[in-house]
Amino acid sequence: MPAVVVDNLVKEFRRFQRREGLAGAVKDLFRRDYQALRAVDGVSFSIERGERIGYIGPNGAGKSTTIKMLTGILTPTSGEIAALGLSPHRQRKQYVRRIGVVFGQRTQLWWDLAVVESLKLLLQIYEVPRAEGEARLAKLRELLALDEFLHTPVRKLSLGQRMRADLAASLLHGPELLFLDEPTIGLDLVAKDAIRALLKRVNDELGTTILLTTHDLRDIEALAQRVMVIDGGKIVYDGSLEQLRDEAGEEASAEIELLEPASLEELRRLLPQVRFAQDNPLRLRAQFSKRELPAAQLLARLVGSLKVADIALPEPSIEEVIRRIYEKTGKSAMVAAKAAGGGAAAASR
Amino acid sequence: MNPARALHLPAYLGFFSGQFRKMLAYRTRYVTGIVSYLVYVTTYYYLWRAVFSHRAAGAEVAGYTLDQMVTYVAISWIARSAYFNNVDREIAEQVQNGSIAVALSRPVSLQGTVVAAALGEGLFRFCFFTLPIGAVILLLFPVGAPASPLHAAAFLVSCALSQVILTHVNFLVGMCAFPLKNIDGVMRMKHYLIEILSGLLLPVALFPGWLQALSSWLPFQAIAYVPSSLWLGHLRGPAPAGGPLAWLAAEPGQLVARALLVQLLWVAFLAVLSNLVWRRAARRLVVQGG
Repeated sequence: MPAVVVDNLVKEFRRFQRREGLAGAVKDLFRRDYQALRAVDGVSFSIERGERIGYIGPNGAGKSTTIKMLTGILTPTSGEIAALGLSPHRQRKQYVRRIGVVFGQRTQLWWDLAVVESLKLLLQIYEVPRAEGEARLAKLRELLALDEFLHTPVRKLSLGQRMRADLAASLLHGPELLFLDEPTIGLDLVAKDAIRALLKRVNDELGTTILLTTHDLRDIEALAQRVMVIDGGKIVYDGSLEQLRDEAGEEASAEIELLEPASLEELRRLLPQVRFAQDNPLRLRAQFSKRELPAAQLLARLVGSLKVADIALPEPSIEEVIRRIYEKTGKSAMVAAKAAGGGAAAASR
Repeated sequence: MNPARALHLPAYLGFFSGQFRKMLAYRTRYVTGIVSYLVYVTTYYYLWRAVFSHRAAGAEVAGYTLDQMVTYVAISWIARSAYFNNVDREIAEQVQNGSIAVALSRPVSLQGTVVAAALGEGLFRFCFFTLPIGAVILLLFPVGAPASPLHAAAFLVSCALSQVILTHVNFLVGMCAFPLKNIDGVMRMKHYLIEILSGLLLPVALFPGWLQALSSWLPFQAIAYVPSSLWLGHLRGPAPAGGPLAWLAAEPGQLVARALLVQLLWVAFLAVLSNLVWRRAARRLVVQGG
């Protein structure tokens, strides 16, 4: 049985629409217009135990809102979540005992207390039996290398140290699921690498199922076996990282350096399937579909008709891949949904 | 199952102790507070001296002699130094900056957490704020002793109950932050309501009749008027003896019991109300920011 099953999840927020001008402001006093915003719009997926999933999307796409519903903090407008056999918001207290949550931009530690004091308080709050708690704390101290700042107040930690401490805090009660909202935000490259490696070890050694949201696609490359892409409140991709690359990888590009200038018109006549762009007379960029024109054929045609100094075929970066997916779905940012039934979105109160 | 475990008392004890230790990290901040409490008590001391100056020695205003009035004022402020808290502002900040999400990711009720932490703060304030303030005020002003050992004991219990009542009032005000986001105005209104209607600035017995009647049905007088009246043994008069339990008894011991019972009823009522309001608020919760 999957650890989490999400079925047709929807979260709508109401946003107060201000009218313009003085007359509008007066009107607002008597009649307020609200616009319904669907932050999450019919999302369905399931998560198996032990998976490491990256959940990505542009700002306002609905990532954090999904995570907040999965952790029982927000009540869905409609749709169902069954996580560990529980309903997160209805059985919140029972449920959060079995999950760990890390919000990259906030700490769950006591700002003014030493790390070890915060961790011991959390053991108490989660009512972890003493022996079990001590064993787990010892394990986490080793795994997350906490000893160097165990007795430092949280406010004096570097961001990377704080994230390690927060990670420890979220794992102390032995959660089966770990949700991380932007765990690497603001960290430097070294600290990011460290957190990624740690999360991987947590997953490997403790068997914790991990779902993380991120803006940093290297997090996904380093960690995720599976990627879910959300845009405009809808899941636009759910699958393996490789498959994501393959799908988008049909679109290829080439960078060509020439020994002698070539005319663009001529090239376009020669290879009509390819979109050429010229950086300068001796540098060209070509975009093409591998299905329409295998790369080898492109190379042969170019070398046959031009004086080529160098040709590079860069792998599409994951950023590029994601950008293409967003373009395909033709949406970005939060989409203002019409109120249920498709009528006017305005409602007054 | 052990009832303490069933209620998750150890978990809440964690919040109690966490808050106590957090406050401890800021203990020097409270040194300046001692001065402001001293200013309040001094002001009201001279005010009442002026009020009584043209009266015969031993004269009473609304049943208080000058000595009793000075005691009332001093004890009210000393008690306030222990029961006071800013739970409403803290909740509003958490709602505004989104850190309420962290509070909700814990396997406990928000209300229980807030009350436990407020009690931890209360213990800190009692040890590191009330004791020094009390010592200074008792040294400088002619504060009368409690009416009897029973009244002294009841006063201490009553202060603890005041704290729980104020915490719930503040919790309810804090809940306004869910729909309103900015509750500065509501907090300011509550602040003045409590200063006046709690009997902190003026014993409730000095209010006009209609206001006494009204305040005996409001929780505010249970915050300051009840504990200070217990210290003075001053439990006759309409409030707090009026209100919901007006039919009950007249002997000193029974009056003490009745005063505490009034507070307990308010604790129960506000706790239930807070729970209902929280359930409603949680359903409509919007967490700000990423």
